[in-house]
Amino acid sequence: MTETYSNTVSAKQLYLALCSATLILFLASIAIGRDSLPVLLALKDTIAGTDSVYAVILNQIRLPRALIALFAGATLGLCGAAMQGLLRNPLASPGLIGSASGAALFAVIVLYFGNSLISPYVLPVAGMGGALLATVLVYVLAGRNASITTLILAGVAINALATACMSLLLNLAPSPFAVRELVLWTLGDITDRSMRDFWLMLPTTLIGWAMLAGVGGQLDALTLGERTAQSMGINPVRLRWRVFIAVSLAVGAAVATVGMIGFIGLVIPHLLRPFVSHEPGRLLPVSALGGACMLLAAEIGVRLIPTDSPLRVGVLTAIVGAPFFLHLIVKSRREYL
Amino acid sequence: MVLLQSSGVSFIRSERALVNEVSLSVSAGELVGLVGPNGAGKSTLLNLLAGLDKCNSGSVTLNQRDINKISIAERSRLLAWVAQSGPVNWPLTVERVVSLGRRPHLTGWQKLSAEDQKAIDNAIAETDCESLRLQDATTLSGGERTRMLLARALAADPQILLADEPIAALDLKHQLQTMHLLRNFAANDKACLVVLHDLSLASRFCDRLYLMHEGKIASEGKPAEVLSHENLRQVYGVEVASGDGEVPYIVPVREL
Repeated sequence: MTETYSNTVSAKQLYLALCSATLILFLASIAIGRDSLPVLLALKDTIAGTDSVYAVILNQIRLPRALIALFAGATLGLCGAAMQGLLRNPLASPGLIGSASGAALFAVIVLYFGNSLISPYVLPVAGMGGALLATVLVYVLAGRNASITTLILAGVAINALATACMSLLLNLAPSPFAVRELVLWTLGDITDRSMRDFWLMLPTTLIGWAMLAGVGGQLDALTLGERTAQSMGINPVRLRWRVFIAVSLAVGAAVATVGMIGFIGLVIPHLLRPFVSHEPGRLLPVSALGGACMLLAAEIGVRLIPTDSPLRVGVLTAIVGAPFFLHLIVKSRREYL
Repeated sequence: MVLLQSSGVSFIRSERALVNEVSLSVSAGELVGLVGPNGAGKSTLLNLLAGLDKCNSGSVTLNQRDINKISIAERSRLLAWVAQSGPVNWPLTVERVVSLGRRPHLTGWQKLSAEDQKAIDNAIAETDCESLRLQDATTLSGGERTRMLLARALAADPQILLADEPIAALDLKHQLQTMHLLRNFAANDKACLVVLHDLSLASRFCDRLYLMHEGKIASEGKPAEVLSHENLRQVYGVEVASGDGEVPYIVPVREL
């Protein structure tokens, strides 16, 4: 009982720490840049309706960027925790079921054919459509009552197909400039995003989050295996598709808006799991906060690290995330591998 | 009152009848044993009775209602099922695993109440898991894990308990404790159907036995009738030595 109590206290402390860190990083993301922004003054000008430089920087550059980093990071952390809980595997990631690569492929197709010039809505909408289509294909390939292994295999197959198609487009790109644009997009980036992009990603993101909101207890029960969970009143097939569709919607929206950003969904749940006594349900909200922190921090990082060409946020999360993840695997291999 | 009943239940996989037209019943207050050799269909039958698999023909009734017409949530409050060997995929504490047993009684975001905690504490005490309470469940021995999973099922406070070989991995003391526990559970106007390989303990503790062979019920009734030398020769293909005193025993002597 003592440990349960201390766990509860540490969980509260963890929530407090993560919420504080998220808020600080969010404000820092708005304030810090090539030129620092007096946030209060910019806010005052915005409220007063004054079209000052500060208000324009806040509303058209810094705020959309910070909001997109906040929501996309939270999505990646949350969906990573949900996938790891569902598959009962700490190495699972949100991209496992093909939604991320489906979104990326469709976005690349839009860029390739120059359709993004028709309307700014084309690229994110195509990305979300690609994510959903990838999930539908996984569903069709694996079948409704598929086992977890079959689903993973179907996801791997769709990922491979999407990656192959992207490679083909890069190969056939008409000019080096087009190749550069395609490659840079896939690296993940939040600069040059507007409030329009944020409002566009918001609905499907929120639907995905809402669908995951009630699955914590079911993921906990799944710890004892699908059969036991079933005997405890859980429909494993329904749970599986609920998580898959939620991940597809939310990750699809994130990838369509910011490109491919790896390792957040993999590292953050892994890092935070011991702080919530390894309970898959309690891991969901803390991973969302952790994911938001990591992407906000990375987004600030790419602005502060001096490079000749702009550093892409997806590159930074991978550079930081990959060695850190390797360290975690080596540290815990006796437990899991 | 009959709490669980199957009528002519069959389960066919790859053109092989794993369970073939089995009819059985378990009434309130009864501890009923399901015995038989490996591959006889005992675990498959238990899965059908728990509603985990759907039978190809026949029907299962729970509290005199068709099990397929009872919602999965209501079913989980009425009936608990303990697997032969269950995985524990994350290093949760034993107490947390046992507390999962209360899940069928919780809705949405509802947290454990004092009553839930009491049920958890009782289940932990009854299964002798007190010393394991804060231990990482993935580090338990096979026997300790079985006791924990039994505690998880008992914490659900079900009317019917289906347990698949709950004493297979237990030491002698815990075998006795568990059989007494199942006996007391059933005595409380509940019902328990348990798959057993230990015929001596089955004979001593169970009110009735069903002897399964090749997917069918070969014999049913009082333990002394079911576990006759003739039945055991036919079903297990062994000659046994037995005694039916205060503590009945059945031990295999030689293969036929």
